[in-house]
Amino acid sequence: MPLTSRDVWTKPTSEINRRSVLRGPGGLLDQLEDPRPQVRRWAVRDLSQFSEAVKPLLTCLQRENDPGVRESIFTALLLIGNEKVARGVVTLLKSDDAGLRNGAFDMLMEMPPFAGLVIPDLLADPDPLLRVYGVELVRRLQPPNTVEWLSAMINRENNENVLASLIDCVAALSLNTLANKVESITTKSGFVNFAMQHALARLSMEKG
Amino acid sequence: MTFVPRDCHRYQCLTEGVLDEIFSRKTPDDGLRVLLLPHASPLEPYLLAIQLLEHWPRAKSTDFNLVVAGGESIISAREGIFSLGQLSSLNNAILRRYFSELDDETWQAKDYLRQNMVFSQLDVTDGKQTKTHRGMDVILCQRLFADYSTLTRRLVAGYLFDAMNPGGFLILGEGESMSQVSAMFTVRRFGQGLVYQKPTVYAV
Repeated sequence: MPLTSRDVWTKPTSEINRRSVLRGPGGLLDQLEDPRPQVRRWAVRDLSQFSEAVKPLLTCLQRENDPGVRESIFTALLLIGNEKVARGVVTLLKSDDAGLRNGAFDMLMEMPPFAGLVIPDLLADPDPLLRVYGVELVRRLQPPNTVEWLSAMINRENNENVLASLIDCVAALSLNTLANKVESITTKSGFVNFAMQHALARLSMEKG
Repeated sequence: MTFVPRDCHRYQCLTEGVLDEIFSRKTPDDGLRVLLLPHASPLEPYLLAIQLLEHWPRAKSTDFNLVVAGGESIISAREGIFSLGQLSSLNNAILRRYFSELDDETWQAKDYLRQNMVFSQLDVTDGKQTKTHRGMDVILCQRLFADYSTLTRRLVAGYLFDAMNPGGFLILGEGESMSQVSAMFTVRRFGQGLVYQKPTVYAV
């Protein structure tokens, strides 16, 4: 009723629940193909109760264009939150879609115990971009093996973008124990040299 | 005469375009359904209703349903009884127009304001509870996301998204944003405020 009316207000009927279809895993998986984003979103939300839904959800995520459904898939995968999710999400870091890559990275940030399981693989990946993602996860999450992992990586890394990320990470985390490792890097790249000088100056200043 | 509630920008964006846009998709007989999740003051729902009556011409002819949801303390706001100190932001004319004097220090919101409001306890982090709130044209909340973990923020944003009608608007407190969880909403500007809109493509 209008705000000025004195009639007694009657509670309007709730929105009709149109989701009268089967809510079991099979029916929900079928609904991931529905053309209506609301139906797909509801299906995703209910699938978060089934750990076996990880694979179809990841597949769906790679073809899903609607931001709302995408967000619900990320949330559903986080709710399931296991090693399978973390390993599946890593594959999205290779996507050409920046939204998927960022979403996948944010997810790993939100599940540190499982992200810790995939970081060694990322740091050793043949793709330099994934190694950069791995270094960034180390910088943000600071897992217990941080020094060991970064030290081993400095020894073997030769991609200048990854090296620069690595050096920045050492400086950002104030890992003075790795200062000698950083100093020992030999490179012809002016970019990496600049990063080294900057990092060593920062470490020296923090030490002093 | 000007009535400006304390949290003026987010109320003003309602009357400076948000409500008109909502009604551009409705029939003349459709009502307006608003969910308010007050942060601190039990006066908030009354200030909102007054803002609409003072600044939105359709307020007097539109079916209006304001659902006020929150913790246990929100239930005490149902009676609409406030001390003069609590009402100090209202000028005398507004005070007398919308409140009745109970005694020297205590005033009560007039019946027609209270009868359009439903007060209910709601934990917005509980998906089962939020399922009971659907079909909202507007949701207003303040400092709702600040205290939650990232996962809870994602969940709550999803619950609020599901509570809204397609094309509905989520309005946060001044200066607040929904970074990380806003991807599902379309960010719009009305007046000086940013609001989050549920895409109309979500009509089933």
